[in-house]
Amino acid sequence: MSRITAIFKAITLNWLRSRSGLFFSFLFPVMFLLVFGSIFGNTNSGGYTLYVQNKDACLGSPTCLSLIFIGALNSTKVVVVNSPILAPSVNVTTFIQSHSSFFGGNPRVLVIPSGFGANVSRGLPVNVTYISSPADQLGPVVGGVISDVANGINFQLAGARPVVGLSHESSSARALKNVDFYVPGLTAAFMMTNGVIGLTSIASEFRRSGVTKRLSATPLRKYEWIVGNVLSQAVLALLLALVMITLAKVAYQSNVTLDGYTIAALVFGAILFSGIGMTLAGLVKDPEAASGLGNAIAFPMMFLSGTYWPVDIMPSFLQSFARVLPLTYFSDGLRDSMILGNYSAALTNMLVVSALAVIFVLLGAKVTVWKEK
Amino acid sequence: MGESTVKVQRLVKRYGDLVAVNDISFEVQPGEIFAFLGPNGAGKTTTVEILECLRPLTSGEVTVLGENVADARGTERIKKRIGVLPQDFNALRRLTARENLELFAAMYDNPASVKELIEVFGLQEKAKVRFDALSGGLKQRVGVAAALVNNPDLVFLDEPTTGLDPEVRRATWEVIRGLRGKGKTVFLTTHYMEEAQELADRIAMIVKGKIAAIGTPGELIKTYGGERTIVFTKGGDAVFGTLRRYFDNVAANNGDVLLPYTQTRDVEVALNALSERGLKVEMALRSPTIEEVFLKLAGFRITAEGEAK
Repeated sequence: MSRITAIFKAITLNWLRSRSGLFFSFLFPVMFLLVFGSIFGNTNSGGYTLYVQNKDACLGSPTCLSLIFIGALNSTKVVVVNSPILAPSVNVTTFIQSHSSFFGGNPRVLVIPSGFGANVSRGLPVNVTYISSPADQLGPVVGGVISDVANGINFQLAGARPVVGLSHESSSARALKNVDFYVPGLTAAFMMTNGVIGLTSIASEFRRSGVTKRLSATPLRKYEWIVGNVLSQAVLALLLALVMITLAKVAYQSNVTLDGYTIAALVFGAILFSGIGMTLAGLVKDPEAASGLGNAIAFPMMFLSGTYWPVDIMPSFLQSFARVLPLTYFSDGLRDSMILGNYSAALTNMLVVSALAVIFVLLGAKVTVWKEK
Repeated sequence: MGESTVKVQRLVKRYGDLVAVNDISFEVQPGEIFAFLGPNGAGKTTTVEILECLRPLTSGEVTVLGENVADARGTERIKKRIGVLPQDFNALRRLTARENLELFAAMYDNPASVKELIEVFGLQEKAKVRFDALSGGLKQRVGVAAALVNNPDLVFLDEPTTGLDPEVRRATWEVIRGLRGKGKTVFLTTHYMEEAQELADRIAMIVKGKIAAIGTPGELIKTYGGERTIVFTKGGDAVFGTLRRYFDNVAANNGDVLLPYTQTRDVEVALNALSERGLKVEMALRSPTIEEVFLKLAGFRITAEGEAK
């Protein structure tokens, strides 16, 4: 046991003192989280911008129906009416042309005609005009919301009660943000690269420089060497998870949790990926080739395992490929326990991960050279 | 003399068709410095690694400290009692000298004091320096210290001074002599003739997987070194001409005159002849070296890099 502790301490210290090790194990994932969090993290808190031109003449009056209509649009939270609203004198066609951009497309504009309030209160039909670009994928969504709000007013005026209602619940008990999706995904992905790229190159470097052989000339046993390495990876993984979770909470008020389930999953994942690292390092003698192979395996795995986007949106042949990648199960499992609170799914994924972990650690032990040929 | 520390009988090691070690037998006695001398690729490291239990043997019988290297339990017991300095010693590069020694110490049940080792090897000032920032000589010193961290009875030093400058090499020799002083048995492999001659109690010359000769440096020189030589420094043509009348084998080299001889009477004859002619000479006696013994036995010299030439 004391030999394992000594190996664990030495390996961990050796890793933490490496600038590139620290960069790829901690700083790189943190940068990814900040970039992803900033780009995608807050889309849910906003809504889709809508420009409104109100030509109704009741401005200033609190009972003004056009203002109530605009208020109702805002309260959907899906649509955000751009403030201030366009003056009646603005030429909408010119406005749309001058506000078009390559990335944003044309602005969505709703025109409320003059006499809107007067007509509505008298029960006379009146049309609002909604203009959106055909290239704007969300154009119809916003149109639907406007129509929905208009219908609500129609119902009220007709004194009708809606028969079919909709109650919309979030898919989990916790309110999710996009950044929540990335914390487990990125943690999983970088634990994978730490094992498959980092440990592979380090272990093969130990072998090339003769460190492994020198240690094998002491009473140290092969399993102690492997357990020491795996433990070190597990602790680094827990540290990484802690850093990612703290950052996500502080910077993005993320809702991810670190419970016992998650900690167990992290440990199994660390064992799995260090097992893969040991296996690659044992199979490939040359450190450069070993680290090349590690990269060749890690990068496709990182992109195809639902780390950055859900597996479901990928083409079906890639989905079936994703199903054989260990990282898919690991990041799914982490997501299940860290953000969804879906522990039965987490358990299934954890079982797959731990079975793979056993296989790869045994394989790694088999191919690690403790006695030369 | 008690039981041999190392006993090798008819050891053979093959890699496929290549025979790296070809039926060698030798013994190492307790407390001696035993040197394996030979060029690169002669089978030195292969043999040492078999003794260190790092490589299986193909056939033959090897015991180290009374334990069989082919036996798993024997291997365990051997590893506790040997110290190893491999060729091109390396440690964890981002750990300091002290941390690395502590790591090696933690591998044993009753290790030596790391603090004392650091003092003995003069590493105090460098103890907190990362291994990869140490010079070649200091790395080697850490390696020797690591080989002693378990108070071993038998220390293997595989090419301990390769790549070191002459000053550091001599300092390392002092350390190795010190090991013998502490009663440890030292198994040294080297391709430096001078190193073997300076340090070893006994030398085994290994050529192409076979032991060409084995014995103390004196025995080897006496048996295989052949004639000794009188050197007449700057003797010139007169001395050469005079001696040529008596001896066929006299030779000239850069103005020096060299006279190999086997009997003391030859020296008398030569000196009388020179004094009759009134020739005053400065002379020196030269004994054959281990290098000449090796050349005679192997048929080639070894370069500084360890290659056969």
